[in-house]
Amino acid sequence: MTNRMGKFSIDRRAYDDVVITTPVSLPYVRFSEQSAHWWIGRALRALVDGSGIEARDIDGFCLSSFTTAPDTAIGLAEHLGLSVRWLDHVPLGGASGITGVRRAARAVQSGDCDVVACIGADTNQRGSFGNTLANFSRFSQDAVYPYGAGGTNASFALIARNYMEQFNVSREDLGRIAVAQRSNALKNPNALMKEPLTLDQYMNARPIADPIHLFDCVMPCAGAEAVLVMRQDTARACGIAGARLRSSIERHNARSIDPMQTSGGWVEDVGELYSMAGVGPDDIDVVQTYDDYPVICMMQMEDLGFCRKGEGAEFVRSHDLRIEGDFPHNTSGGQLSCGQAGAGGSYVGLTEAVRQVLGTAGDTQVKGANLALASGFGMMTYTRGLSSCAVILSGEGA
Amino acid sequence: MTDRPSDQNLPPYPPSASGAFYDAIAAEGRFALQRCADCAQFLYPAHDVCPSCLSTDLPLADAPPQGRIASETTIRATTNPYFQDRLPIRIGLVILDCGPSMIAFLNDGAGMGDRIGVSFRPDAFGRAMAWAK
Repeated sequence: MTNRMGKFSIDRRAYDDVVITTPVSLPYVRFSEQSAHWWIGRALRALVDGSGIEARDIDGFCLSSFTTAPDTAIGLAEHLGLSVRWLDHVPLGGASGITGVRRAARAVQSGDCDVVACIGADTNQRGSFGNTLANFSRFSQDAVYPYGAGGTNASFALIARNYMEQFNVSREDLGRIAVAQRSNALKNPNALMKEPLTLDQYMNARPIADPIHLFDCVMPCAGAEAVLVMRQDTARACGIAGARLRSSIERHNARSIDPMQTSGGWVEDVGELYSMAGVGPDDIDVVQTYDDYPVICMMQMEDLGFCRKGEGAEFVRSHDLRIEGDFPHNTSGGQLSCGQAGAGGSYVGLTEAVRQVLGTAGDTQVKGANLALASGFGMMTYTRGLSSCAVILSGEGA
Repeated sequence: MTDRPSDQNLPPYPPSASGAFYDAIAAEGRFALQRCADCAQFLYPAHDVCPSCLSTDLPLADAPPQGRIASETTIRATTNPYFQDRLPIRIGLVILDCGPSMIAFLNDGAGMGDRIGVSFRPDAFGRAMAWAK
């Protein structure tokens, strides 16, 4: 495993006793006439209610959303009545949640603030998803969108087609990931997808942008996910349980990657992810990869060290990815089965990972889960997903 | 000054000030890309800054159009009403021998793995579109 430090890098400091608490996953809806502000407000309310910490004692706010325009985090702070001394707006799509949490962690560790509300939320009014696609990035506006406006489906289709040919991955292999996640989702009362999914149904679904078919795609929806980040002593004083942040990485626009993407930026930092946590891939009890498409999950299984590059297909054939299996993966059902609430989707794996190591995941709980890995991926601004990130969390027992 | 075109004549995609200078190239039937005056790197899509050397001197220069179709897809669904009426649409990701990668429409017979040449052709709205043939 690599560990690419910079020319001026020093050893990174541990997060000491930073914890992530109060995982909030509001039930999603397919379409919502409410604003993003409404969803963000509901998430903040759930953080307050769930933690017993009053809004006036939340002195940090980190927001990720595509649909607050013209407002950004500061406009939302005013709208929600938050007076904070640390404010961040993380517009990194599927990498937003984990990136936001790792920034908040350093803020509370250093005492720049004490309690950060990290919220990822989006509304989905009819037409708003198309609007997000049309205005996603300058390179995309110039040189991708006018070519049929296939959106992320078409862009990821180009990556998937090359990846599948290069590494001998079949649609059945990718279907195993989607089918296992649906099995998990049936135990999550908040998942939008309520029906079982068979491999036959996956294989026979209508094509969207070959080789991407319907059940490779997430359903855009409205919803919100959130957590609090604070120091362990704060959490103890408030009587709330927290998941310890053992390590984290992020990487953007990794330049070593070929123009035809076959791996994400994790490959630059995965060694540090494990060494900082003092564990290895075999120690991880439950894994939440970023699942905008099953092919990206498979890429992460390789890039995060669970198997080598090119072995992803064999890995999913030889492991059971369900909650009760030997490689519990995307235990809430993930975005593929819960829906993708815009930037809220970047928090889906994180909130579930926190619940898993705290033992509060209910019907999706993996027995004895104490170490969890969650990863994020986002920002297909042109032809590659530019942003990658990951965290390792542990429960009180670790 | 001509009258402002009606909405029906506006492209069904966002305006692009930075990409507009390719439109004249397409009308002339040339294939040109920005080329950094300091480090000679070809750039695409339209850049204001060279990511190799941070130069801002990036004139258009005739470019060798040869490349390889590294991947392809057939778009069968879109949120855009204009393109919905024109599905399916085949596109590919072309890696040019001179460096940049670009999305291009695929001519019949051009597919993944093929060596091809890229040209810019004006679409119905005068915008330069890359075609692989």
